[in-house]
Amino acid sequence: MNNSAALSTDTLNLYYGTFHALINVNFQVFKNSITALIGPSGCGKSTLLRCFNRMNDLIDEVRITGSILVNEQDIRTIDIITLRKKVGMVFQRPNPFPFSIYENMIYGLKTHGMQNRKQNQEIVEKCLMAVGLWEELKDRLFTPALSLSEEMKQRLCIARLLTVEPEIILLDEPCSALDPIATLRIEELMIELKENYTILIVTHNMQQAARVSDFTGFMLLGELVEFDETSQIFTSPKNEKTEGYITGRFG
Amino acid sequence: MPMTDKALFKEKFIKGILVSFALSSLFFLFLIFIFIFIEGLPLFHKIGLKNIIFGFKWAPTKGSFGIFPMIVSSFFVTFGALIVGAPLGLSCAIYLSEYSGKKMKMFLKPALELLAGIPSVVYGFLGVIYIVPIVRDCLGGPGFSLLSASIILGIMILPTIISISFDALMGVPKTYREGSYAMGATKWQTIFRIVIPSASSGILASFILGMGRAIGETMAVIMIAGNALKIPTSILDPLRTLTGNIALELAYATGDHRLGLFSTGVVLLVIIMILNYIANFSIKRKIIK
Repeated sequence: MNNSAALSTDTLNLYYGTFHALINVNFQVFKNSITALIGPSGCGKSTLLRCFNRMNDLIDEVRITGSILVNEQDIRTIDIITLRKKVGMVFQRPNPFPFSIYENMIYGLKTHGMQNRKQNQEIVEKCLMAVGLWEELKDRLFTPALSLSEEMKQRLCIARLLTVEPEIILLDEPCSALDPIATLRIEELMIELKENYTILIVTHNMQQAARVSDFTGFMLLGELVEFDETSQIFTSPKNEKTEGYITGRFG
Repeated sequence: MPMTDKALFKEKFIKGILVSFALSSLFFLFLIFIFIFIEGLPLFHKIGLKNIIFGFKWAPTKGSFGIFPMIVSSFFVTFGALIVGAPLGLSCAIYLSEYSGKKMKMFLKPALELLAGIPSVVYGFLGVIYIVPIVRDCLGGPGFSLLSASIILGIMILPTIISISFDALMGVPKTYREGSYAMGATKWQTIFRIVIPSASSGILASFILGMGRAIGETMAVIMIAGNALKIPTSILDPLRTLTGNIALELAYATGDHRLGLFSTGVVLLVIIMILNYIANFSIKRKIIK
Protein backbone atom coordinates (compact mmCIF):
# COMPACT_ATOMS: atom_id res chain seq x y z
CA MET A 1 0.00 0.00 0.00
CA ASN A 2 1.41 3.38 -0.88
CA ASN A 3 -0.01 6.71 -0.04
CA SER A 4 -0.81 8.32 -3.36
CA ALA A 5 -4.45 8.64 -4.24
CA ALA A 6 -5.69 6.63 -7.21
CA LEU A 7 -9.05 8.33 -7.00
CA SER A 8 -10.05 11.52 -5.28
CA THR A 9 -12.74 14.15 -5.34
CA ASP A 10 -12.71 17.76 -4.26
CA THR A 11 -15.95 19.50 -3.19
CA LEU A 12 -17.88 17.25 -5.53
CA ASN A 13 -21.55 18.09 -5.97
CA LEU A 14 -23.90 16.15 -8.17
CA TYR A 15 -27.50 16.93 -9.07
CA TYR A 16 -30.12 14.74 -10.74
CA GLY A 17 -32.29 17.51 -12.11
CA THR A 18 -33.13 19.41 -8.95
CA PHE A 19 -32.22 16.60 -6.56
CA HIS A 20 -28.91 17.23 -4.81
CA ALA A 21 -27.49 13.71 -4.73
CA LEU A 22 -23.87 14.35 -3.65
CA ILE A 23 -23.03 17.24 -1.34
CA ASN A 24 -19.47 18.58 -1.05
CA VAL A 25 -17.80 15.20 -1.13
CA ASN A 26 -14.05 15.13 -0.47
CA PHE A 27 -12.88 11.59 -0.81
CA GLN A 28 -9.74 9.58 -1.58
CA VAL A 29 -8.98 6.04 -2.61
CA PHE A 30 -5.37 5.00 -2.09
CA LYS A 31 -3.43 2.85 -4.53
CA ASN A 32 -3.48 -0.91 -4.01
CA SER A 33 -5.99 -0.73 -1.24
CA ILE A 34 -9.61 -1.73 -0.90
CA THR A 35 -11.90 1.11 0.04
CA ALA A 36 -15.50 0.44 0.97
CA LEU A 37 -18.42 2.84 0.78
CA ILE A 38 -21.22 2.04 3.19
CA GLY A 39 -24.46 3.74 4.02
CA PRO A 40 -28.21 3.28 3.80
CA SER A 41 -30.00 2.96 0.43
CA GLY A 42 -30.22 6.17 -1.53
CA CYS A 43 -27.33 7.83 0.32
CA GLY A 44 -25.42 8.38 -2.92
CA LYS A 45 -22.71 5.75 -2.59
CA SER A 46 -23.40 4.17 -5.99
CA THR A 47 -23.68 7.62 -7.51
CA LEU A 48 -20.25 8.51 -6.12
CA LEU A 49 -18.81 5.25 -7.43
CA ARG A 50 -20.23 5.90 -10.88
CA CYS A 51 -18.61 9.33 -11.00
CA PHE A 52 -15.18 7.80 -11.38
CA ASN A 53 -15.82 6.12 -14.73
CA ARG A 54 -18.41 8.66 -15.83
CA MET A 55 -21.23 6.13 -15.92
CA ASN A 56 -23.49 8.95 -14.73
CA ASP A 57 -23.09 10.42 -18.20
CA LEU A 58 -25.58 7.82 -19.41
CA ILE A 59 -28.31 9.41 -17.31
CA ASP A 60 -30.05 12.55 -18.53
CA GLU A 61 -30.09 15.71 -16.50
CA VAL A 62 -27.02 15.04 -14.39
CA ARG A 63 -24.99 18.08 -13.41
CA ILE A 64 -21.64 17.84 -11.65
CA THR A 65 -19.53 20.54 -10.00
CA GLY A 66 -16.20 20.22 -8.22
CA SER A 67 -13.42 17.99 -9.42
CA ILE A 68 -12.86 14.27 -9.78
CA LEU A 69 -9.30 13.06 -10.13
CA VAL A 70 -7.98 9.74 -11.37
CA ASN A 71 -4.28 9.30 -10.68
CA GLU A 72 -4.27 12.99 -9.80
CA GLN A 73 -5.52 13.93 -13.23
CA ASP A 74 -8.87 15.64 -13.71
CA ILE A 75 -11.20 13.19 -15.47
CA ARG A 76 -12.55 15.94 -17.68
CA THR A 77 -9.15 16.05 -19.35
CA ILE A 78 -9.08 12.29 -19.94
CA ASP A 79 -10.74 10.84 -23.00
CA ILE A 80 -13.78 8.85 -21.85
CA ILE A 81 -12.69 5.61 -23.56
CA THR A 82 -9.25 5.75 -21.92
CA LEU A 83 -10.85 6.58 -18.61
CA ARG A 84 -13.26 3.66 -18.67
CA LYS A 85 -10.49 1.34 -19.74
CA LYS A 86 -8.41 2.48 -16.80
CA VAL A 87 -11.29 2.51 -14.31
CA GLY A 88 -13.24 -0.70 -14.79
CA MET A 89 -16.56 -1.50 -13.20
CA VAL A 90 -18.38 -4.59 -11.92
CA PHE A 91 -22.12 -4.31 -11.45
CA GLN A 92 -24.63 -5.37 -8.87
CA ARG A 93 -26.16 -8.04 -11.04
CA PRO A 94 -23.64 -10.12 -12.97
CA ASN A 95 -24.05 -9.00 -16.57
CA PRO A 96 -22.26 -11.35 -18.93
CA PHE A 97 -23.27 -10.79 -22.53
CA PRO A 98 -25.53 -13.47 -24.02
CA PHE A 99 -22.66 -15.02 -25.98
CA SER A 100 -20.12 -17.73 -25.24
CA ILE A 101 -17.68 -17.45 -22.34
CA TYR A 102 -14.81 -16.93 -24.77
CA GLU A 103 -16.62 -14.19 -26.67
CA ASN A 104 -17.34 -12.44 -23.40
CA MET A 105 -13.67 -12.60 -22.55
CA ILE A 106 -12.40 -11.21 -25.83
CA TYR A 107 -15.04 -8.50 -26.12
CA GLY A 108 -12.91 -5.86 -24.45
CA LEU A 109 -9.84 -6.87 -26.43
CA LYS A 110 -11.68 -6.65 -29.73
CA THR A 111 -13.24 -3.36 -28.68
CA HIS A 112 -9.78 -1.93 -28.19
CA GLY A 113 -8.57 -3.28 -31.49
CA MET A 114 -6.55 -6.29 -30.39
CA GLN A 115 -6.99 -8.87 -33.12
CA ASN A 116 -4.06 -11.21 -32.51
CA ARG A 117 -5.74 -14.55 -31.78
CA LYS A 118 -2.86 -16.18 -30.00
CA GLN A 119 -2.15 -13.20 -27.83
CA ASN A 120 -5.85 -12.86 -26.99
CA GLN A 121 -6.04 -16.51 -25.99
CA GLU A 122 -3.15 -16.01 -23.60
CA ILE A 123 -4.82 -12.99 -22.05
CA VAL A 124 -8.10 -14.91 -21.67
CA GLU A 125 -6.27 -17.72 -19.91
CA LYS A 126 -4.37 -15.35 -17.64
CA CYS A 127 -7.48 -13.40 -16.64
CA LEU A 128 -9.63 -16.46 -16.06
CA MET A 129 -6.83 -17.82 -13.89
CA ALA A 130 -6.73 -14.59 -11.93
CA VAL A 131 -10.35 -15.06 -10.90
CA GLY A 132 -10.00 -18.81 -10.35
CA LEU A 133 -12.19 -19.91 -13.22
CA TRP A 134 -9.65 -21.31 -15.66
CA GLU A 135 -9.49 -24.88 -14.42
CA GLU A 136 -13.24 -25.15 -14.34
CA LEU A 137 -13.99 -23.48 -17.65
CA LYS A 138 -11.04 -24.23 -19.91
CA ASP A 139 -12.84 -27.13 -21.58
CA ARG A 140 -16.08 -25.28 -22.13
CA LEU A 141 -15.05 -21.82 -23.23
CA PHE A 142 -17.53 -21.95 -26.07
CA THR A 143 -20.62 -22.68 -24.00
CA PRO A 144 -23.06 -19.82 -23.31
CA ALA A 145 -21.97 -17.54 -20.48
CA LEU A 146 -25.58 -17.27 -19.31
CA SER A 147 -25.57 -20.94 -18.33
CA LEU A 148 -23.04 -20.35 -15.54
CA SER A 149 -24.00 -20.02 -11.88
CA GLU A 150 -24.45 -16.51 -10.50
CA GLU A 151 -21.12 -16.60 -8.71
CA MET A 152 -19.28 -17.78 -11.79
CA LYS A 153 -21.03 -15.14 -13.85
CA GLN A 154 -19.79 -12.47 -11.48
CA ARG A 155 -16.27 -13.93 -11.58
CA LEU A 156 -16.47 -13.97 -15.35
CA CYS A 157 -17.48 -10.30 -15.33
CA ILE A 158 -14.45 -9.50 -13.20
CA ALA A 159 -12.21 -11.56 -15.47
CA ARG A 160 -13.70 -9.86 -18.51
CA LEU A 161 -12.80 -6.55 -16.98
CA LEU A 162 -9.23 -7.60 -16.26
CA THR A 163 -8.63 -8.32 -19.95
CA VAL A 164 -8.47 -4.59 -20.71
CA GLU A 165 -5.92 -4.07 -17.91
CA PRO A 166 -7.66 -1.56 -15.68
CA GLU A 167 -5.75 0.03 -12.81
CA ILE A 168 -8.78 0.66 -10.67
CA ILE A 169 -11.82 -1.58 -10.23
CA LEU A 170 -15.15 -0.21 -9.09
CA LEU A 171 -17.51 -2.78 -7.60
CA ASP A 172 -21.14 -1.80 -7.15
CA GLU A 173 -22.57 -4.20 -4.56
CA PRO A 174 -20.97 -7.11 -6.41
CA CYS A 175 -22.24 -9.77 -4.01
CA SER A 176 -25.83 -8.72 -3.49
CA ALA A 177 -27.06 -11.35 -5.95
CA LEU A 178 -24.90 -14.11 -4.45
CA ASP A 179 -25.30 -16.59 -1.62
CA PRO A 180 -23.07 -16.30 1.49
CA ILE A 181 -20.47 -18.86 0.38
CA ALA A 182 -20.13 -17.32 -3.07
CA THR A 183 -19.87 -13.95 -1.35
CA LEU A 184 -16.93 -15.11 0.75
CA ARG A 185 -15.18 -16.46 -2.32
CA ILE A 186 -15.61 -13.18 -4.20
CA GLU A 187 -14.23 -11.39 -1.15
CA GLU A 188 -11.16 -13.63 -1.16
CA LEU A 189 -10.75 -12.78 -4.82
CA MET A 190 -10.87 -9.07 -4.05
CA ILE A 191 -8.11 -9.44 -1.49
CA GLU A 192 -6.00 -11.30 -4.05
CA LEU A 193 -6.65 -8.64 -6.67
CA LYS A 194 -5.61 -5.88 -4.28
CA GLU A 195 -1.95 -6.62 -5.00
CA ASN A 196 -2.25 -5.40 -8.56
CA TYR A 197 -5.32 -3.23 -8.56
CA THR A 198 -6.96 -0.47 -6.59
CA ILE A 199 -10.45 -1.42 -5.51
CA LEU A 200 -13.43 0.71 -4.55
CA ILE A 201 -16.48 -1.23 -3.44
CA VAL A 202 -19.98 -0.12 -2.59
CA THR A 203 -21.70 -2.48 -0.22
CA HIS A 204 -24.83 -2.82 1.84
CA ASN A 205 -23.15 -5.43 3.90
CA MET A 206 -21.20 -3.94 6.80
CA GLN A 207 -19.53 -7.23 7.68
CA GLN A 208 -18.26 -7.32 4.13
CA ALA A 209 -16.79 -3.84 4.46
CA ALA A 210 -15.19 -4.85 7.76
CA ARG A 211 -13.81 -8.08 6.28
CA VAL A 212 -12.26 -6.88 3.06
CA SER A 213 -11.57 -3.17 3.18
CA ASP A 214 -8.61 -1.13 4.34
CA PHE A 215 -10.52 2.14 4.34
CA THR A 216 -14.19 2.83 4.79
CA GLY A 217 -16.33 5.81 3.97
CA PHE A 218 -19.75 6.23 5.54
CA MET A 219 -22.28 8.17 3.50
CA LEU A 220 -25.61 9.59 4.54
CA LEU A 221 -28.05 11.67 2.49
CA GLY A 222 -25.44 12.58 -0.11
CA GLU A 223 -22.70 13.53 2.31
CA LEU A 224 -19.54 11.66 3.16
CA VAL A 225 -20.00 11.69 6.92
CA GLU A 226 -16.82 9.94 7.90
CA PHE A 227 -13.83 8.46 6.16
CA ASP A 228 -11.05 6.59 7.89
CA GLU A 229 -9.22 3.31 8.20
CA THR A 230 -11.72 0.49 8.41
CA SER A 231 -10.53 -0.60 11.85
CA GLN A 232 -11.09 2.93 13.13
CA ILE A 233 -14.56 3.25 11.63
CA PHE A 234 -15.74 -0.02 13.06
CA THR A 235 -14.13 0.24 16.50
CA SER A 236 -14.16 3.91 17.38
CA PRO A 237 -16.11 6.03 14.93
CA LYS A 238 -15.79 9.76 15.51
CA ASN A 239 -19.20 10.72 14.26
CA GLU A 240 -22.26 9.63 16.18
CA LYS A 241 -24.23 9.05 12.98
CA THR A 242 -21.57 6.58 11.84
CA GLU A 243 -21.76 4.88 15.17
CA GLY A 244 -25.53 4.76 14.94
CA TYR A 245 -25.36 3.13 11.54
CA ILE A 246 -22.70 0.53 12.25
CA THR A 247 -24.31 -0.48 15.50
CA GLY A 248 -27.58 -0.92 13.63
CA ARG A 249 -29.55 1.82 15.29
CA PHE A 250 -30.71 3.09 11.92
CA GLY A 251 -30.22 2.49 8.23
CA MET B 1 -68.75 -9.02 1.56
CA PRO B 2 -69.64 -12.35 -0.09
CA MET B 3 -71.05 -12.12 -3.56
CA THR B 4 -74.76 -12.62 -4.00
CA ASP B 5 -75.95 -15.34 -6.35
CA LYS B 6 -77.11 -12.70 -8.76
CA ALA B 7 -73.73 -10.95 -8.86
CA LEU B 8 -71.98 -14.28 -9.28
CA PHE B 9 -74.23 -15.19 -12.17
CA LYS B 10 -73.53 -11.84 -13.81
CA GLU B 11 -69.76 -12.39 -13.53
CA LYS B 12 -70.04 -15.82 -15.09
CA PHE B 13 -72.32 -14.55 -17.81
CA ILE B 14 -69.93 -11.76 -18.79
CA LYS B 15 -66.99 -14.14 -18.79
CA GLY B 16 -68.93 -16.57 -21.00
CA ILE B 17 -69.74 -13.88 -23.53
CA LEU B 18 -66.13 -12.69 -23.66
CA VAL B 19 -64.84 -16.23 -24.14
CA SER B 20 -67.23 -16.91 -27.00
CA PHE B 21 -66.28 -13.65 -28.72
CA ALA B 22 -62.63 -14.41 -28.22
CA LEU B 23 -63.02 -17.85 -29.73
CA SER B 24 -65.00 -16.52 -32.67
CA SER B 25 -61.82 -15.13 -34.25
CA LEU B 26 -60.37 -18.61 -34.08
CA PHE B 27 -63.58 -19.89 -35.61
CA PHE B 28 -63.26 -17.50 -38.57
CA LEU B 29 -59.68 -18.58 -39.12
CA PHE B 30 -60.86 -22.17 -39.11
CA LEU B 31 -63.62 -21.36 -41.61
CA ILE B 32 -61.16 -19.67 -43.96
CA PHE B 33 -58.94 -22.72 -43.92
CA ILE B 34 -61.80 -25.14 -44.50
CA PHE B 35 -63.21 -23.02 -47.29
CA ILE B 36 -59.96 -22.56 -49.16
CA PHE B 37 -58.85 -26.14 -48.78
CA ILE B 38 -62.21 -27.61 -49.82
CA GLU B 39 -62.19 -25.49 -52.95
CA GLY B 40 -58.51 -25.69 -53.68
CA LEU B 41 -57.50 -29.26 -52.91
CA PRO B 42 -59.61 -31.20 -55.49
CA LEU B 43 -57.64 -29.69 -58.34
CA PHE B 44 -54.39 -30.91 -56.81
CA HIS B 45 -55.91 -34.35 -56.89
CA LYS B 46 -57.11 -34.01 -60.48
CA ILE B 47 -54.09 -32.30 -62.09
CA GLY B 48 -51.39 -33.48 -59.71
CA LEU B 49 -49.44 -31.56 -57.10
CA LYS B 50 -46.31 -31.58 -59.22
CA ASN B 51 -48.04 -30.25 -62.34
CA ILE B 52 -49.46 -27.33 -60.40
CA ILE B 53 -46.53 -26.33 -58.20
CA PHE B 54 -43.79 -27.06 -60.73
CA GLY B 55 -45.80 -26.45 -63.91
CA PHE B 56 -44.55 -23.57 -66.03
CA LYS B 57 -47.67 -22.94 -68.04
CA TRP B 58 -50.71 -21.16 -66.68
CA ALA B 59 -53.56 -21.54 -69.21
CA PRO B 60 -56.49 -22.44 -66.97
CA THR B 61 -59.03 -22.51 -69.76
CA LYS B 62 -56.90 -25.07 -71.60
CA GLY B 63 -56.20 -27.31 -68.64
CA SER B 64 -52.72 -26.03 -67.67
CA PHE B 65 -52.45 -24.87 -64.11
CA GLY B 66 -48.73 -24.41 -63.60
CA ILE B 67 -48.07 -21.69 -61.04
CA PHE B 68 -44.32 -22.14 -60.69
CA PRO B 69 -43.50 -18.76 -62.32
CA MET B 70 -45.84 -17.06 -59.86
CA ILE B 71 -44.33 -18.81 -56.86
CA VAL B 72 -40.88 -17.77 -58.00
CA SER B 73 -42.12 -14.24 -58.72
CA SER B 74 -43.73 -13.97 -55.29
CA PHE B 75 -40.46 -14.96 -53.67
CA PHE B 76 -38.46 -12.57 -55.85
CA VAL B 77 -40.71 -9.66 -54.94
CA THR B 78 -40.61 -10.64 -51.28
CA PHE B 79 -36.83 -10.83 -51.15
CA GLY B 80 -36.62 -7.64 -53.18
CA ALA B 81 -38.83 -5.94 -50.62
CA LEU B 82 -36.63 -7.29 -47.86
CA ILE B 83 -33.48 -6.00 -49.54
CA VAL B 84 -35.05 -2.55 -49.68
CA GLY B 85 -36.92 -2.63 -46.38
CA ALA B 86 -34.62 -4.51 -44.01
CA PRO B 87 -31.65 -2.10 -43.96
CA LEU B 88 -33.93 0.93 -43.86
CA GLY B 89 -36.19 -0.52 -41.20
CA LEU B 90 -33.39 -1.80 -39.01
CA SER B 91 -31.50 1.50 -39.20
CA CYS B 92 -34.64 3.33 -38.26
CA ALA B 93 -35.29 0.99 -35.33
CA ILE B 94 -31.69 1.42 -34.14
CA TYR B 95 -31.97 5.17 -34.38
CA LEU B 96 -35.26 5.13 -32.49
CA SER B 97 -34.12 2.87 -29.70
CA GLU B 98 -30.52 4.03 -29.24
CA TYR B 99 -30.13 7.59 -30.42
CA SER B 100 -33.39 9.50 -30.60
CA GLY B 101 -34.61 11.61 -27.74
CA LYS B 102 -38.08 11.41 -26.28
CA LYS B 103 -39.40 14.18 -28.53
CA MET B 104 -38.18 12.50 -31.69
CA LYS B 105 -39.68 9.20 -30.54
CA MET B 106 -43.00 10.89 -29.89
CA PHE B 107 -42.96 12.26 -33.40
CA LEU B 108 -41.64 9.19 -35.25
CA LYS B 109 -43.77 6.46 -33.68
CA PRO B 110 -47.14 7.94 -34.73
CA ALA B 111 -45.69 8.75 -38.16
CA LEU B 112 -44.79 5.09 -38.57
CA GLU B 113 -48.23 4.01 -37.46
CA LEU B 114 -49.62 6.31 -40.12
CA LEU B 115 -47.34 4.68 -42.69
CA ALA B 116 -48.86 1.33 -41.70
CA GLY B 117 -52.37 2.74 -42.03
CA ILE B 118 -52.05 4.07 -45.58
CA PRO B 119 -54.20 1.89 -47.90
CA SER B 120 -52.18 -0.27 -50.26
CA VAL B 121 -53.95 1.15 -53.29
CA VAL B 122 -52.37 4.50 -52.43
CA TYR B 123 -48.93 2.91 -52.42
CA GLY B 124 -49.75 1.34 -55.77
CA PHE B 125 -50.89 4.67 -57.09
CA LEU B 126 -47.69 6.39 -56.00
CA GLY B 127 -45.72 3.56 -57.55
CA VAL B 128 -47.46 3.94 -60.90
CA ILE B 129 -47.13 7.71 -60.91
CA TYR B 130 -43.53 8.02 -59.69
CA ILE B 131 -41.53 4.81 -59.36
CA VAL B 132 -42.58 3.15 -62.62
CA PRO B 133 -41.71 6.14 -64.85
CA ILE B 134 -38.42 6.72 -63.03
CA VAL B 135 -37.40 3.09 -63.45
CA ARG B 136 -38.45 3.14 -67.12
CA ASP B 137 -36.61 6.37 -67.90
CA CYS B 138 -33.45 5.67 -65.93
CA LEU B 139 -32.97 1.95 -66.35
CA GLY B 140 -35.10 0.97 -69.32
CA GLY B 141 -37.66 -1.81 -69.68
CA PRO B 142 -41.38 -1.30 -69.24
CA GLY B 143 -41.03 0.21 -65.76
CA PHE B 144 -43.67 -2.17 -64.45
CA SER B 145 -41.12 -4.47 -62.93
CA LEU B 146 -39.67 -6.53 -60.14
CA LEU B 147 -37.61 -3.50 -59.12
CA SER B 148 -40.57 -1.12 -58.88
CA ALA B 149 -42.64 -3.64 -56.94
CA SER B 150 -39.73 -4.34 -54.57
CA ILE B 151 -39.25 -0.66 -53.82
CA ILE B 152 -42.91 -0.07 -53.03
CA LEU B 153 -43.23 -3.27 -51.01
CA GLY B 154 -40.00 -2.45 -49.20
CA ILE B 155 -41.59 0.78 -48.03
CA MET B 156 -44.83 -0.98 -47.13
CA ILE B 157 -43.12 -3.47 -44.83
CA LEU B 158 -41.14 -0.76 -43.00
CA PRO B 159 -43.67 -0.34 -40.16
CA THR B 160 -43.64 -4.09 -39.46
CA ILE B 161 -39.86 -4.32 -39.45
CA ILE B 162 -39.35 -1.13 -37.46
CA SER B 163 -41.87 -1.76 -34.71
CA ILE B 164 -40.85 -5.37 -34.05
CA SER B 165 -37.09 -4.66 -34.29
CA PHE B 166 -37.57 -1.64 -32.06
CA ASP B 167 -39.26 -3.77 -29.40
CA ALA B 168 -36.46 -6.32 -29.67
CA LEU B 169 -33.77 -3.65 -29.28
CA MET B 170 -35.55 -2.01 -26.36
CA GLY B 171 -35.81 -5.43 -24.75
CA VAL B 172 -32.02 -5.74 -24.48
CA PRO B 173 -31.26 -5.25 -20.78
CA LYS B 174 -29.64 -1.98 -19.77
CA THR B 175 -27.03 -3.99 -17.87
CA TYR B 176 -25.57 -5.33 -21.14
CA ARG B 177 -25.11 -1.81 -22.41
CA GLU B 178 -23.59 -0.66 -19.13
CA GLY B 179 -21.23 -3.62 -19.10
CA SER B 180 -20.02 -2.69 -22.54
CA TYR B 181 -19.62 1.02 -21.82
CA ALA B 182 -17.83 0.23 -18.57
CA MET B 183 -15.13 -1.55 -20.56
CA GLY B 184 -14.50 1.50 -22.67
CA ALA B 185 -16.55 0.54 -25.70
CA THR B 186 -17.97 3.35 -27.79
CA LYS B 187 -21.67 3.73 -28.37
CA TRP B 188 -21.47 2.28 -31.86
CA GLN B 189 -19.36 -0.68 -30.69
CA THR B 190 -21.93 -1.33 -27.98
CA ILE B 191 -24.79 -1.22 -30.44
CA PHE B 192 -23.09 -3.24 -33.14
CA ARG B 193 -21.43 -5.90 -30.99
CA ILE B 194 -23.79 -6.21 -28.02
CA VAL B 195 -27.23 -4.75 -28.60
CA ILE B 196 -27.89 -6.01 -32.14
CA PRO B 197 -26.59 -9.57 -31.51
CA SER B 198 -28.63 -9.73 -28.30
CA ALA B 199 -31.75 -8.69 -30.18
CA SER B 200 -31.01 -10.81 -33.24
CA SER B 201 -33.87 -13.25 -32.87
CA GLY B 202 -36.41 -10.44 -32.58
CA ILE B 203 -34.85 -8.65 -35.53
CA LEU B 204 -35.00 -11.86 -37.55
CA ALA B 205 -38.66 -12.27 -36.59
CA SER B 206 -39.36 -8.74 -37.81
CA PHE B 207 -37.81 -9.58 -41.18
CA ILE B 208 -39.83 -12.75 -41.50
CA LEU B 209 -43.09 -11.05 -40.56
CA GLY B 210 -42.20 -8.32 -43.04
CA MET B 211 -41.79 -11.04 -45.66
CA GLY B 212 -45.20 -12.39 -44.73
CA ARG B 213 -46.66 -8.96 -45.27
CA ALA B 214 -44.87 -8.56 -48.61
CA ILE B 215 -45.86 -11.95 -49.99
CA GLY B 216 -49.49 -11.35 -49.09
CA GLU B 217 -49.71 -7.85 -50.53
CA THR B 218 -51.97 -7.72 -53.58
CA MET B 219 -53.30 -4.39 -54.75
CA ALA B 220 -50.07 -2.40 -54.85
CA VAL B 221 -48.31 -5.28 -56.57
CA ILE B 222 -50.94 -5.68 -59.28
CA MET B 223 -50.68 -2.00 -60.04
CA ILE B 224 -46.92 -1.89 -60.50
CA ALA B 225 -45.59 -5.37 -61.22
CA GLY B 226 -46.84 -5.65 -64.80
CA ASN B 227 -48.39 -9.09 -64.18
CA ALA B 228 -46.70 -10.91 -67.08
CA LEU B 229 -46.87 -14.69 -66.84
CA LYS B 230 -43.21 -15.62 -66.80
CA ILE B 231 -40.26 -16.02 -64.56
CA PRO B 232 -38.47 -12.67 -64.53
CA THR B 233 -34.90 -12.87 -65.78
CA SER B 234 -33.88 -9.37 -64.74
CA ILE B 235 -35.01 -6.92 -62.10
CA LEU B 236 -36.53 -4.83 -64.88
CA ASP B 237 -38.86 -7.62 -66.04
CA PRO B 238 -42.56 -7.57 -65.20
CA LEU B 239 -43.91 -10.44 -63.11
CA ARG B 240 -47.11 -11.83 -61.63
CA THR B 241 -47.40 -12.91 -58.02
CA LEU B 242 -49.67 -15.55 -56.47
CA THR B 243 -51.90 -12.93 -54.90
CA GLY B 244 -52.00 -10.92 -58.10
CA ASN B 245 -53.09 -13.98 -60.03
CA ILE B 246 -56.09 -14.55 -57.79
CA ALA B 247 -57.17 -10.92 -57.72
CA LEU B 248 -56.82 -10.43 -61.47
CA GLU B 249 -58.73 -13.49 -62.62
CA LEU B 250 -61.29 -14.38 -59.99
CA ALA B 251 -63.92 -12.00 -61.34
CA TYR B 252 -64.40 -13.95 -64.57
CA ALA B 253 -63.13 -17.43 -63.68
CA THR B 254 -65.49 -20.40 -63.80
CA GLY B 255 -65.19 -24.15 -63.38
CA ASP B 256 -61.67 -25.55 -63.15
CA HIS B 257 -60.20 -22.08 -63.71
CA ARG B 258 -61.88 -20.95 -60.52
CA LEU B 259 -60.62 -24.00 -58.67
CA GLY B 260 -57.15 -23.27 -60.00
CA LEU B 261 -57.26 -19.88 -58.31
CA PHE B 262 -58.20 -21.54 -55.04
CA SER B 263 -55.23 -23.85 -55.48
CA THR B 264 -53.10 -20.74 -55.81
CA GLY B 265 -54.64 -19.63 -52.55
CA VAL B 266 -53.76 -22.92 -50.88
CA VAL B 267 -50.10 -22.54 -51.88
CA LEU B 268 -50.08 -18.96 -50.63
CA LEU B 269 -51.64 -19.94 -47.33
CA VAL B 270 -49.09 -22.69 -46.78
CA ILE B 271 -46.18 -20.32 -47.50
CA ILE B 272 -47.55 -17.74 -45.07
CA MET B 273 -48.12 -20.39 -42.40
CA ILE B 274 -44.51 -21.49 -42.74
CA LEU B 275 -43.24 -17.91 -42.45
CA ASN B 276 -45.36 -17.25 -39.37
CA TYR B 277 -44.20 -20.47 -37.81
CA ILE B 278 -40.56 -19.53 -38.34
CA ALA B 279 -41.15 -16.04 -36.92
CA ASN B 280 -42.90 -17.42 -33.84
CA PHE B 281 -40.20 -19.98 -33.39
CA SER B 282 -37.44 -17.39 -33.39
CA ILE B 283 -39.32 -15.17 -30.93
CA LYS B 284 -40.09 -18.06 -28.60
CA ARG B 285 -36.52 -19.21 -28.61
CA LYS B 286 -35.58 -15.77 -27.33
CA ILE B 287 -38.14 -15.90 -24.53
CA ILE B 288 -36.98 -19.32 -23.36
CA LYS B 289 -33.39 -18.09 -23.27
